[in-house]
Amino acid sequence: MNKKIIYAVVFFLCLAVPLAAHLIAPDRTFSDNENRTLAKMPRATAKGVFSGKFQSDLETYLTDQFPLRDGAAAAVSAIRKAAGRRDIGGAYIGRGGYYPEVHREEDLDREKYAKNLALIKKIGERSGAGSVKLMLVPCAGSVMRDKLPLFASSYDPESYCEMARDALPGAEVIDLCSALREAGDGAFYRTDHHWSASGVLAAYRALTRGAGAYSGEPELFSDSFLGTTYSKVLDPAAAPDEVYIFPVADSVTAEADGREIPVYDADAATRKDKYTVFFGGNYGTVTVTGGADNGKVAVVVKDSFANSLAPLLTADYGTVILIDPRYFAGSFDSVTAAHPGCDLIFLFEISGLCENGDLAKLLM
Amino acid sequence: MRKMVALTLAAVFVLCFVSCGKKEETEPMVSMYDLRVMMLAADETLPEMKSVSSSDEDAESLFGYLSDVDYSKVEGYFLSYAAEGDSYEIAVVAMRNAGDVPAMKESVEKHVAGRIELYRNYKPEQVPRAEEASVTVSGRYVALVMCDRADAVLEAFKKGIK
Repeated sequence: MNKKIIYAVVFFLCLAVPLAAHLIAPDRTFSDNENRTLAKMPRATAKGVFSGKFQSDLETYLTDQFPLRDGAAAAVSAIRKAAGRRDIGGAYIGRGGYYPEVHREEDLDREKYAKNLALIKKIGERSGAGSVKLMLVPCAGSVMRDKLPLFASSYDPESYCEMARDALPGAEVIDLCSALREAGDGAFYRTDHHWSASGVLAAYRALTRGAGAYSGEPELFSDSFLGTTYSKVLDPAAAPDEVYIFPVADSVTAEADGREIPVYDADAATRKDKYTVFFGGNYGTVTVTGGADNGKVAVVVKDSFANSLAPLLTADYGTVILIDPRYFAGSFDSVTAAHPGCDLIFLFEISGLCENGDLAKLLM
Repeated sequence: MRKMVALTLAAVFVLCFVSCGKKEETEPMVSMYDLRVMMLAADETLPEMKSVSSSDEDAESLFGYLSDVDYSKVEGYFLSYAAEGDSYEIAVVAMRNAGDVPAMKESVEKHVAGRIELYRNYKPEQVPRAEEASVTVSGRYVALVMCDRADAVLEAFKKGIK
């Protein structure tokens, strides 16, 4: 009888304690590990309840606000790793302390990629740009295949570059695959999906064909960066990355969505995502001025990879305009009409271009 | 006599197949321009809105922002959105075939989910309106309404497609 009571009490506590913790603990608004805003308690409305939306949102809220969520996720990762799993949460536990993102060929949507290439062709033709260049960034796993775990695979970036060359005969498709391979192991961060200073420099040299005007030396910004892929695997054995920045001239300033922002955001040193040192994160439009005194303009339609490349471009262009289609509002035609003959550069990581649904906004 | 009856029954049987295979007549599509005007007028709190539609030169490319459904299945559409990128979107898609409506509805719902996620990370104050967005089906029309007076706009939609 006593045993039954003990079992009943333990069972009750297993349910009651997490529930009590859930109710007592304040809701978190942001997850550093997942780099996203967490769900708030949904409002119960008759319409929401009858449509099932309230219940679905409530489930999302309870999942997001689960007590000790990060600790529980880390424990699950440790168990999976101990069981021999090398693909955890969308990142590989690779060799040499690398955690490349999982991007298998079968995960990519070639049809969407082809549609996006067609959009890029149209945008380029309409822009009145002096030149159109396409920089397709391969993921870390596609460049450093020796860092993938046994039997792991990653997409073939050369075939995507080939598709781009066929689809965009009037554009220059920059070969980043070779450039990043030549840069060696340090081309990408170990714990983040972005390229490191070494990779950025290789991409810059490929873009400028080795004739770029930037000559500065990188400076260490942080030696404690645990990035996006670390957040997927939560491996306690992960060694932090070093983040380097490339100094720019004092005359260089940046503006985003109508207000001044730093080219390098020093506050990023206190945030988990140290990659946000570059402009403080992503904006729809960032205009960087005060660079080279030559009147040249580069308009870069991009994802977050271009954030770390843009400072180097200020040595070759008087104005660099960064457009992120995800957050862009306004008229792209107005941007290019204001700068006829500009260099139009599209820079995307290949897997991102296989799912990007926002490029059409640049034709609106 | 029996042969006549048998032949008659066979002929009736064949005629039944013919009638089953007869293509359902589709009502002509309403004017997307008129529908857009009616629906936008129903909510006077809308900010400055821009519009694209199936009449535009790049209609197929522009449609890709809203849905990845094969454009050849679409008879017409319009999409109105806030010029400043806030969470106001009103769109109607007329499918050629009513059988393609569920796929279109799912695709538009996916678009809304993507917008909510984007706003959550970039403009959190826009999330509540995006979360209240409705995707409605009526016949071969799929409507997306994301604005403050959604009921009035939906009412205008229903009147407009009659």
